[in-house]
Amino acid sequence: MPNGGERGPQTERRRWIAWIAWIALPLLIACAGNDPATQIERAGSWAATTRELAIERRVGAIGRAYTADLLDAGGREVQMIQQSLKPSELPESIRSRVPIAVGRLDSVIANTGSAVRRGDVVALGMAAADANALSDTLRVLRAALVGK
Amino acid sequence: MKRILDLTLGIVTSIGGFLEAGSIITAVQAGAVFGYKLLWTIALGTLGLMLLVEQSGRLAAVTGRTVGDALRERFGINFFILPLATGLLVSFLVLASEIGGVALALQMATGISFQWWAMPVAFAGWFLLWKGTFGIVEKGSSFLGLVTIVFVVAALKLHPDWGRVGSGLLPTVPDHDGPRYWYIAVSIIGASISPYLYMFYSSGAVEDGWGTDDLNTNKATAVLGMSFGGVLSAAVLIIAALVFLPRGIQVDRYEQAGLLLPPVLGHSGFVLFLASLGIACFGATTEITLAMAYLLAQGLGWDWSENAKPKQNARFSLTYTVTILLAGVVMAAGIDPLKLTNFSMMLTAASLPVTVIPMFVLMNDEALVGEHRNRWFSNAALGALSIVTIVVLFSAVPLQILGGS
Amino acid sequence: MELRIVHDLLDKVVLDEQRRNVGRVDGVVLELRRGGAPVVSAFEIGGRVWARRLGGRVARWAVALGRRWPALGNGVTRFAMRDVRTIGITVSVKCDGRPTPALAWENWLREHVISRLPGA
Repeated sequence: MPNGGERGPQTERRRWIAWIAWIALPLLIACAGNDPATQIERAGSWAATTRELAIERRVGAIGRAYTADLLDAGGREVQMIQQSLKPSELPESIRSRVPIAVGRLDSVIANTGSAVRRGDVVALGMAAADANALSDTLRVLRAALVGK
Repeated sequence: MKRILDLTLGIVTSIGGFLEAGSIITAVQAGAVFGYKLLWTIALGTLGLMLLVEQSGRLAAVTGRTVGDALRERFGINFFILPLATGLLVSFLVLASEIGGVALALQMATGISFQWWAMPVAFAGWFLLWKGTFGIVEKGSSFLGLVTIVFVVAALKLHPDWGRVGSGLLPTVPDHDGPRYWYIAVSIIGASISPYLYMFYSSGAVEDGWGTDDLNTNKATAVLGMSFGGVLSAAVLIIAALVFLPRGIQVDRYEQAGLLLPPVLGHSGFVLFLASLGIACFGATTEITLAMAYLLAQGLGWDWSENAKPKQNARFSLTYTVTILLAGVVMAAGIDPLKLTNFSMMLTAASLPVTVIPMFVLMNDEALVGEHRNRWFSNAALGALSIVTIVVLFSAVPLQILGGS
Repeated sequence: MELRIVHDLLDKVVLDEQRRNVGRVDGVVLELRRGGAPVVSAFEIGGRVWARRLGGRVARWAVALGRRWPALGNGVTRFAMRDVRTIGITVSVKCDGRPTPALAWENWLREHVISRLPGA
């Protein structure tokens, strides 16, 4: 008759460790990914997102609440990137330019957010252009970091 | 004539019910970062699902046993406890992320945070399960789920280079960002081959009273239904490849996916995306909840039936009630929907061997399925799938470490 | 009559005379006879029964839980082999399953929880 029987404590312990590792490790790492190249790429993604949000909001294709909320979220993400960036990890050539670009992105996102809340179509257009420029800048900076 | 009607219904149900939180967002991430290069994983996942759905349907039609029944009866409690525990745990996390999907769609529509929507969504799902029958639950959300065809429309409107799309169907190795590539690949497999799907399917087959004369309909439904469903996922990937990739938009927050359709379809695109996300995830919510209750009830020998009134299956009804409300609480607590979805897709992928390999054994057991056991082709395919799932299992954890973001 | 315990009996669904699901055959009771082979005299249904089969830590937990909260353990239901009508895909017994401990929770929940909710 099938019966589990007694298992040695070592096997038991190993089994529990395997279970915990199987769950905990992926969980732990779901929040990782902090090298500079990835950070710059994510900042670039938010610049592109901001641009797209401004463009679509300007023509009324997307909702006001949606746009404002996502811009807020993006602002928080960019601020986190700003704080976690370590200039020492960046090469000389771009060491000063990256924090400046990310800092500018933070204010562009904030401006876009207030333009959305005011319903200022003109400001949205300008914000889109700013975000576009930053998106390009960040792309170049990342290429410089990775290409070397 | 009735057979054709059944078949059509089955296919429509499969299409409408195919997409959910995980398959949508993994396809978006794949297209946004790697263009068409990961299309082959969608094809692979869809193929795998097709196999498992057909076999679970055949099992139910021939033996009158569901996958849950068969796992306990054929392998005994000692083995069954493993797919039971992993199945319930993984499904619970996926369920929470589906509720998160509906809640997010409502947040994007109204500006009210998804945390406030989580419990109302859970209650709505509970209410449908409590008052509805299996047919209503399955067909209702699947018919509404046909709104997801908007993704095919948008993909076609973008006029992709079909040659390049086709080349994406061939497995390739990435030229950049290797770990991330394989990370998303594994997530797509997990999103496509969700065990709850084919466990639910076999329970449905028993609820609907399938017999051996339904086998051809089953086969056709599985093949055609899943194929068309896979086309939906592929469409999402193609749109992301053509809209997000050139703009350099990647997905760090689930809500960024809301920008997928507006550039193609304008305001209608935005509305239809929200409708698609909300309906698809709501359908998945009710299905997963039922699937979990089925697995537990069948495994332990309780009365179970969605067609019966809740009073007649007290433990079964209590199980799905507690499950869906608990999952609602998880999302109300404010867990990040994107992180949870990504994580649960990974976990699903890692737990596949536990259900796929037993199917292999079940479908070849002559005493169980008799003359309807697998032909060499199904065995070869299922065997290959089993190997893939084992490889996935051993790569899932290192991938999360290297590629997760 | 030849009965393969594991293949034919164990883990099968048990139906009572009303075709109601009573549970699954969670364990089997062997009677040791003097001068003869052991005989299957009965089978048992109960959480404690299958938990014991799992062995190891889980089994010890189940025993401890059952001791601490006897209501939760809800006892073990035993059916003698002479109460068995047929053994096939499922096991049919000649009794009414409702008063057995196996359905104690089902009955209690139906009366005190499920029926209280509207639309049950």
